[in-house]
Amino acid sequence: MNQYLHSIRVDPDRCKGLMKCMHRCPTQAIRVRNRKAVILDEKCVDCGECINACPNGAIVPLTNPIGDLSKFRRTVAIPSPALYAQFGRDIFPDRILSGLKKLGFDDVHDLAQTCGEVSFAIQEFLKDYHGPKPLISNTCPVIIRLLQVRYPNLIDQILPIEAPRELAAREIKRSLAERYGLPERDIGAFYLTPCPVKMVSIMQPAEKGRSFLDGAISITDIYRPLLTSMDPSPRESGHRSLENLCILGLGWAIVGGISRTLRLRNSLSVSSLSEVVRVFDDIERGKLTDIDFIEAYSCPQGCVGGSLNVENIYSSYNKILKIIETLEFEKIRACPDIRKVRRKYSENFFSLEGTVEPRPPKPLHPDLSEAIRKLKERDEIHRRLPKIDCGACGAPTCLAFAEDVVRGEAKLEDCPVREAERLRAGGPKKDEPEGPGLNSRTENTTRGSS
Amino acid sequence: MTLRDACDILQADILTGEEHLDREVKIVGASDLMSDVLAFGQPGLLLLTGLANVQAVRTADIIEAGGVIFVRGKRPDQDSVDLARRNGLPLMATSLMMFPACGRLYEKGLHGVTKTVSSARTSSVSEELLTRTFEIAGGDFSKAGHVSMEIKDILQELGISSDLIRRTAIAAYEAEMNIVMYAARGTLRLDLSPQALVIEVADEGPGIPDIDKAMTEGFSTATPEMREMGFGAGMGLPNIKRNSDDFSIRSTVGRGTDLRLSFRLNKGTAEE
Repeated sequence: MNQYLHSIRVDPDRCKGLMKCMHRCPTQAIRVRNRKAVILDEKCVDCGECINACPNGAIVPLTNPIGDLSKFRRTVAIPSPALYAQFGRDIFPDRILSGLKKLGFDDVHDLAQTCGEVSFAIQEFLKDYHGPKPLISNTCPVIIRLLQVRYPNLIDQILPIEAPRELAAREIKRSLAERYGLPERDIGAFYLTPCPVKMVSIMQPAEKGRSFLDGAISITDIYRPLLTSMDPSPRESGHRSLENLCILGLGWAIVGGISRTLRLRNSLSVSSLSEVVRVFDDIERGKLTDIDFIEAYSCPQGCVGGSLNVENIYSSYNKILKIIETLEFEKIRACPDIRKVRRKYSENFFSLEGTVEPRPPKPLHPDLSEAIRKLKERDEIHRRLPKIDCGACGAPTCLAFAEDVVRGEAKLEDCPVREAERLRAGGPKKDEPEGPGLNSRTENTTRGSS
Repeated sequence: MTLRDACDILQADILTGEEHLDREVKIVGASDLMSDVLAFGQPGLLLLTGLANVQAVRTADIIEAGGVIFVRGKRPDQDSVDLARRNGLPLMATSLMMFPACGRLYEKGLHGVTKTVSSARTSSVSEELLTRTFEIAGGDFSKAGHVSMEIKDILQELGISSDLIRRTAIAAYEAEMNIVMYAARGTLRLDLSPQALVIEVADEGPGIPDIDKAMTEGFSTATPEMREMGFGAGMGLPNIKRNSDDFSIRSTVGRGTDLRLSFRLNKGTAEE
């Protein structure tokens, strides 16, 4: 069985076993054992909720340090459009991109352009799509992982168009390699990421063998150096600095941004994992079949809500909207040529490589009879638990705890509420430290028949 | 009688828990089927069983048994003994067969569990059958869909194939919604064995005057309000039938409707 990689890890030195992460985790993928948080690989979808929940900073996102640039002959930065929303109102994308160059990137790429192309490509795809509906957007890797783990039935409905960041990396590396006569492996393409999950999608893509990106650098990590490297010069006229900006692609940073560009009669946009789960539950029950396209994000308000951003989620959402409004008002249409996109589409330029495989949770037992028996045992244990979901045992709910007991990963006596009741009722004390006399077990515990 | 007395009567060896032998024993239960033990067990019970494994020890611990005596000379492995020792559960072993062992204790005045088991259905059948009954309230749209989601979770825990889970969830959801929309109340019962999955739905509702017509796709008696909510496209019953492997319906006007849907499990559990 292959190991699932994750972009989040627990720093045991900082973890105080406070259980805040365990209670926040939307997929119940965290247990606290021996006063340290443990992430369950199979259940984790890399949403990053735990990072925000931990007051001790003990949950660490795994991204590349900026020093990794030196591993490549040439580097290119591909910032998520969410980066454009992290600064004050006067700081437009062109200034941010030139600031990045001063940080040591040889090239920078405005991902909004690629997003705009992909918007057109999705339009093309939807024109002759007759498969199961609704189609589900694939830009958020958490959503893909959620589908793999919890909704394997809906995997067929994932949009089979390559994500813009991957397409951009593929094309830029190809063209830079050509221009500078370098092998592609000497060119490092780094995504500037608003969330840790992109790192996993680079290390272990859900659908194909390898990613075209070489790493992901956290927006938090480059924020301060970028602030100081940006040109402090008086702002240029708003129009000038916006004239190359693609209105279609910019919206990809916020929830609803993709659907806005697709001209569909029936589409839904949903953000926050708990809300996405409600929508997917409905799809799985056979509802929402009249919806053509669902745009879903793990983070609130879309990518601007990622845990590695700096700015307040709502201000950054608003900043993106304001730029879009300005572009509309100024009638700036710096978007890709739709005829070119159509031609590329017909040449499978946008097609997603590989397929997404289900990752269903491990059953209680591979044999159904045995699994049924264990399920009954789990329910019997659960019936006897306090059902207050206090979490003191180290599992998020009494039901999760009962399941851990049945799977042999926890012991019934780990429930402190039940133990307290037992002791109050004069029951035997459990787990008493073994005295030296009890070590010679065979002599002490076995007695010949009298 | 104390545990020590019971040990003497059965000439049992003590495997662990010497220090608890003064515990009072009032009730004895004897079974090899742990699901029965879970169903009739009560705190302080002295369990006689021929099942000498960790499962028996765990079950005894869950029901908070006073002790366990293994019959027919069987002995559990060291792990089971260790588990019992940690949990303060005395284990003993006698070479007597089950019946004479029970007989001797009975002779000395010990008796068994007398309460009748409330959920007779679950306890009387084999360990391999899972039964779940859900009550569904008519008109309660706020809870609509919960039953089908709970069923989905159960099937996922059991490793049922995702295609079957989807079909079951859709059929169960439609059945659930029919009760919510039309009936006063109803029940949905899930029976799962390693061979088949059966869902029986019974409601106290208006009944269906013309079943053939109701089974026609597109036929619906839904009110405009229901349609507004996205229901009543006349797909409910046909959808249930299409998603199940076997479907039957019985209805009495003014009384209610019964559905029975079954699904084959020939593919068994997911292998991966």
